[in-house]
Amino acid sequence: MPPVAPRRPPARYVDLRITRALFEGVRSHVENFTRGEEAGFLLCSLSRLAERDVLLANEWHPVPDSAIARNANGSVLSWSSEFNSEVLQRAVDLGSTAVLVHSHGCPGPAFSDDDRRNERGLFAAFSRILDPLLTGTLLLGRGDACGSFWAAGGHGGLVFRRIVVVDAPLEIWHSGDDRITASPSRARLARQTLAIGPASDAKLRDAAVGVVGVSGGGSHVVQQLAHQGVGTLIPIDDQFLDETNLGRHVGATAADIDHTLKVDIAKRVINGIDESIEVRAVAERFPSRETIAALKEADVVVSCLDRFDAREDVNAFCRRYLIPLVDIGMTIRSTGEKLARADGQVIVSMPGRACLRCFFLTDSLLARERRERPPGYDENPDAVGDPQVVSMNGVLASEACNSVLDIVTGYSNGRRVARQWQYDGRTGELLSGDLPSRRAGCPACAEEGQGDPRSA
Amino acid sequence: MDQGDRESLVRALAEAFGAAVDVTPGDGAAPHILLPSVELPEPWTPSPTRALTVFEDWPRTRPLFFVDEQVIGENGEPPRSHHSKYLLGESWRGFSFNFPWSGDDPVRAVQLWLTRFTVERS
Repeated sequence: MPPVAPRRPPARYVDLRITRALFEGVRSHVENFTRGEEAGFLLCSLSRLAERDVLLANEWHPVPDSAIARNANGSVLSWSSEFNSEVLQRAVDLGSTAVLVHSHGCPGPAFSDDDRRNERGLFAAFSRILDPLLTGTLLLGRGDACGSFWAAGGHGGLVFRRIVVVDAPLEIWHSGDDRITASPSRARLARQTLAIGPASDAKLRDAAVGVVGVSGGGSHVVQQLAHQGVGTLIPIDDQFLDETNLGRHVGATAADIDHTLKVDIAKRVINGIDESIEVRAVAERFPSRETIAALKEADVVVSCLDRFDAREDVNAFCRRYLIPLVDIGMTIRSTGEKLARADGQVIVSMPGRACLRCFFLTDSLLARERRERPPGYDENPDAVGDPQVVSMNGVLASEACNSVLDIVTGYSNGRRVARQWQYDGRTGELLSGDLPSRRAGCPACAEEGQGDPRSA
Repeated sequence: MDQGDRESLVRALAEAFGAAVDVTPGDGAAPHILLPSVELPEPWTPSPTRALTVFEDWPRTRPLFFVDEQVIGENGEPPRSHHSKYLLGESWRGFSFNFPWSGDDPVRAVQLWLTRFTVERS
């Protein structure tokens, strides 16, 4: 009987996620060929997903000129082992990994024989020292890239897929192994494509958007994102529909009362619009283990939650994993007889810029909520619910979906970016404004890009 | 709170509970002190377990207190009136437990929190 070849495990894909500011710093160094090739190391944390690993770039360490040795035509780059040791030590101290980056300055990049030789010498050792983190090298092209990654002394089973530059819009540098299925344009999106351009269809199909809270605001959001053609939606909510939700829950029916999970209503709405949209619903409350694992797969997260501490949690998560966050919230005050105030906001929080904890979710706001509405308050069936109006929720949800659309497709040509919108539900006024600067000492920003906890 | 005060907190807690690690995420955050190995009375399990204290507005208010998400009581469930909080990249288990607080002794504050597991079995 002939020997059976051992079955090879499926390859794991590797992505790099990096803020615009850091990526521009990398490019300005490695794409400067005045002295010949340049290189440097990105120190990265890790986000381990089900089928891929995402490297979260944190620090850039260009190889200093003093450490470099070039050949006569500047095309072969080597540098001192002392610099390698410094970088490796820094990575170990941070619990991070090191990724070498350089550029050949042309599209369709491919590693040279010298690159491969240097790689074997360096990363066989790096990967043993940095185990269990993967390490390797990236070669930038022109809007594309290639990569080669190692783990535990070995080189196999890791396939570099893409660089995701986190900004509005997201910018993807694909590799040759980034298998984007060429699909025909979707007829149902024809009018949208006319509005925002033919490239939008594929970008939306390729995107994954998490929606945390799919009730008053979130039910609008999932419906519109489905209509917009987002390819993967991740609705997260642990509640069943109750009668009081029916006044504002898009897609819910009387038959759902006390019987249907809100995420199942979301799935029904989404797939009723388009069966091909992948829905990864999680009927749990964030931050359970399952919800964290699901949301790590998202390119953008929309938070539609009432409690400030819950919004704080989602904000902290998105910062750790370098995921853009669109947060919506509405506060209505009533005299009992009539509406007194109806204040809403949409905030687009982009890694590298101010987060919700920098200016909105202050220590005093969170402390007051802990005193007046301790955690678990809203789970008490006898707790008085907050006033809500479906049409006001709809205004915020629509602007949130416009923000997601812009992050994925760039339709606003840079006019939206990271901003906030203030909405007065009494007058109908919707005002946009810049976000403030990042707050020094913000605890969420301090964890930006740290990815999985070190003990994980 | 300055660095010296934080180090005092860590030292006091380490002495009382065997070990304590300053895991504060950045200079502007309230001190986050991890207690890697805290004993819980039966029927609570696992024991020892991890606990995380956050000294917000200390010592005017008692520290926030969380235990490992895996902690369960005699009915196999987390403490009653529990909630989850995302801290330092993980989900931690908070729970409702009232006690009067005054003073500035962090060890006493943590011990008071831990009486929850002595007075209740679920």
